[in-house]
Amino acid sequence: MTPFDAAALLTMLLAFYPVPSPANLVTARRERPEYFAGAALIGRSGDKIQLPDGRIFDLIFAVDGPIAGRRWQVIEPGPAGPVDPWALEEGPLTPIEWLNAAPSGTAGTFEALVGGAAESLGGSDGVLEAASNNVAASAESAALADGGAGELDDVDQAVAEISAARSAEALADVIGQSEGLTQAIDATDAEYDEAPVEPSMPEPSPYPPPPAPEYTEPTEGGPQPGG
Amino acid sequence: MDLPLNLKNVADESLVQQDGTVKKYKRYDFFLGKFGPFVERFELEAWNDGAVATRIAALRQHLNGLPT
Repeated sequence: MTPFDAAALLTMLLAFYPVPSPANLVTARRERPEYFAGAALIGRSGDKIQLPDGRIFDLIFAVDGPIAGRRWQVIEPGPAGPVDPWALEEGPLTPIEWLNAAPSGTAGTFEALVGGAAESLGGSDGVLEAASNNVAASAESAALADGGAGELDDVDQAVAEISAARSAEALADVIGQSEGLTQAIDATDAEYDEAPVEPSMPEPSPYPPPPAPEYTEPTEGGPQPGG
Repeated sequence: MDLPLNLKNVADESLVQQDGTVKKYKRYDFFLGKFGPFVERFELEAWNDGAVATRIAALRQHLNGLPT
């Protein structure tokens, strides 16, 4: 059997079969079998060959696309294709021991941060106390205290006035106003004993009614109704 | 790229066609440089040196166009 040479096969296809197609590949396989070295046409579209030693070559680029986008090629795809950088790990899966797997980080980092921040607050009690003393000693704070006291002095008087006004409304007067409403409700709630008025009906027409329009099923190819 | 012709074999062949007839051919086995073997057949009725040279030239041209 003639040994297989990919360059010779590709050159032959380019020289004598200018249109890359599975049909032309079949023709080339029949007319020049030596270039194929006993390979069989395989693939969903018949665009690949498999040599007797098992090697597979893809001979048509973009075989499913338009003819203008196709071209002859001789590419031997790898058995597993390109290397997957995110390939799954070979099984079987084993549970992870989190105590060993989880990184512990640098010990003491968090404690050092908290300690440093707390240390920076040292003496803050004294600062707050001094500020409070300043506020209490300032003239503006004394004026605010006096103003608030003046507003609160009138509260007792306002409450007394509201209570007096409510006491002036006698509860008996409110009850008396609602007594008349009971009679009106009773009168409305009586039985309805009047006979209903008969509705007025239109007089019958002295003329006979017009005949109903005739209708026949439309036939195929015949005149259409309304046309 | 220099692609000298290295002719290995020229032989007469008789091949049975699909309709049952037998057709005679001239078979050429050759290399072009390090590439090959190439196997080309010519119907005996249309075979001549010019046809062989034309076909070899076409192969050599496309072989030169391949990426190295």
